[in-house]
Amino acid sequence: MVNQDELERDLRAVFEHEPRPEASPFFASRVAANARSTERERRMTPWLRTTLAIIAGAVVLLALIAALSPMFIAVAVPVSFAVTLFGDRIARACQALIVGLLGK
Amino acid sequence: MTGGAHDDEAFRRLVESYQERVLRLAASILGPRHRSAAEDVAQEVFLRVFRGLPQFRGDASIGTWIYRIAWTVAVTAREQLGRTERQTALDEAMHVHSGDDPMATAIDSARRRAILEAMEELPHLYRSVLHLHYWLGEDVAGIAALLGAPAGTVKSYLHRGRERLKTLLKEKGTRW
Repeated sequence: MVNQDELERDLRAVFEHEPRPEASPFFASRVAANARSTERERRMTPWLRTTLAIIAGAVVLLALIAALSPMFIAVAVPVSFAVTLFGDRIARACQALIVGLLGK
Repeated sequence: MTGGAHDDEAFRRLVESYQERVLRLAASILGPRHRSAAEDVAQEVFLRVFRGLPQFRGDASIGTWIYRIAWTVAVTAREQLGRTERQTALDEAMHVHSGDDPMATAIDSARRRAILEAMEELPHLYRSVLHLHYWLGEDVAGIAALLGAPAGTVKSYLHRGRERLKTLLKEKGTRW
């Protein structure tokens, strides 16, 4: 049988010498500083992400161009030479081909 | 709280005004062996308060609003404390009060352990009001302010908390 008075007395005895919680020194200043910096970080995060995404995109693009550049040069240079030197003839040949195809 | 040293100072004063009571409320839910966790909870509470201040409409007093946040954060923290961690804390509590401590003679260790174990099993509300009253020395009015409940309701919580504790102690077969 648990007696009410005894329970109260024992509850007081159990907790009487338990240390009570106390905020550490400068708790308020620390919390205020943390709140300010956390908030700043939170606000900066979207901008930071966007900037990082743009930088990462640019780096990937540059890397791709660098990787593909030999092929690009190998194809683009002869084509541009051919167009410069034989542009007129190529144009006529293309015209004749199209007319011939449509004529049939 | 839009920024600047003035707001920082205002917020620091707000924290200073409520830190002790927030810490007590958090500790009452977490228990005596998690005082360091109580300070972490208090810090998280004030971070949420800082973020929430622009949206605070003043429907309730700022104290009531802060205590509500504190309750939610502390209960979450308490539920995240594993059972093993709580058991370790209980063992430490028993160890601290054994030996030559005069209190250890005032209440034998079996009773002490039974009470501490039963307290761990109480619902958050009853554990909190019993801790606030018997450990942290809060009177009914103080508990009422922390819980945002009328004094009569707090008395009823205390009564029901003791009844639940008695039932748990009976179930454990504690001899009184």
